[in-house]
Amino acid sequence: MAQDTHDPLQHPEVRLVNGRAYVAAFVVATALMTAALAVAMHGGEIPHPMLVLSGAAALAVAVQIMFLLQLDFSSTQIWTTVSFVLAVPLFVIAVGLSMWMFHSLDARTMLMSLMH
Amino acid sequence: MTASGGMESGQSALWEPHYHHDVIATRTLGFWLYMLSDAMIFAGLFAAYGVLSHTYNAAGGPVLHALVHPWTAYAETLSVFASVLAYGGVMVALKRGSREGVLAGLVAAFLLGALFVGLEVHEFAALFRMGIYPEGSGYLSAFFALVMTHGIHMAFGLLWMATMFFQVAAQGLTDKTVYRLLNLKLFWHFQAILWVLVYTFVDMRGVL
Repeated sequence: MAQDTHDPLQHPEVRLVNGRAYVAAFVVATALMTAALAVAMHGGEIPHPMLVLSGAAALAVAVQIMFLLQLDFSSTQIWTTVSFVLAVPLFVIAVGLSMWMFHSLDARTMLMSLMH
Repeated sequence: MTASGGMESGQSALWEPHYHHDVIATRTLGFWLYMLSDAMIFAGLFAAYGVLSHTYNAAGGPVLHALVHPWTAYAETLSVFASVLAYGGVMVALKRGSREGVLAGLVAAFLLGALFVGLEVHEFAALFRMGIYPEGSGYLSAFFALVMTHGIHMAFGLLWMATMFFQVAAQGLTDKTVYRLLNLKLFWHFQAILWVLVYTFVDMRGVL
């Protein structure tokens, strides 16, 4: 962490910039989101379309994290990576538990039967 | 164990007078932790949207299929990704020490980001003209809150870019402008990641 960097452009966080990685992130993420559009528009012909869309989104996010944010285990990025890895379960738990709780609540109330 | 608390030789401890505090690394990590807490706002909004996206929460009003337009959403995706790529150009120019390159990249990233915001404003204006407002139902409240929060983040990113354009033009690539450009990179790239989730779980799910 302690760097003698009088020139800010020599800072390790500037030095890790990688133009090819940004282009790769753009190409892969665009291809995945184009595929997602095709899947969504032909959803009836594809088994489990929501699962396929979720997979494409997970891949696109992973590619962006690796190539745009450049999270890795180098001494420059380690704490960025650790804090991100620790935050992901909080995000998943917050969304997942809320949806699960209300899904099971809906199943036990009359609202669902009124709609069907 | 040494006086420096077991640190490797060559490095100085925090309490030693010649310790060099790495301002850039401290500020980018601090801002990154802020971005992660910002992501929890989106977790709350995605959770609310997930809970309220059942048809009966629409109270007989419009549901997602009527609200989203796949090609507009796709155009928005391309503009976000292209803007993020242009900001990558800002970073490459920064590494080379090119002030002109940084300024040109900021203009390109700003214009492409503004295209996204313009498309979204156009999309919402069309919904409002059809009488579809956030207060229409719990379903619509959750939809507008999620998509608009992302849009407002994008608008603030544009404001930040415009600010950085004038700061870099006036001050050059100093400690302060460099850490701010690095923080804006974290912010802008994070918006692209969140957009992938909005595009997939709101727009594409609505098209299905």
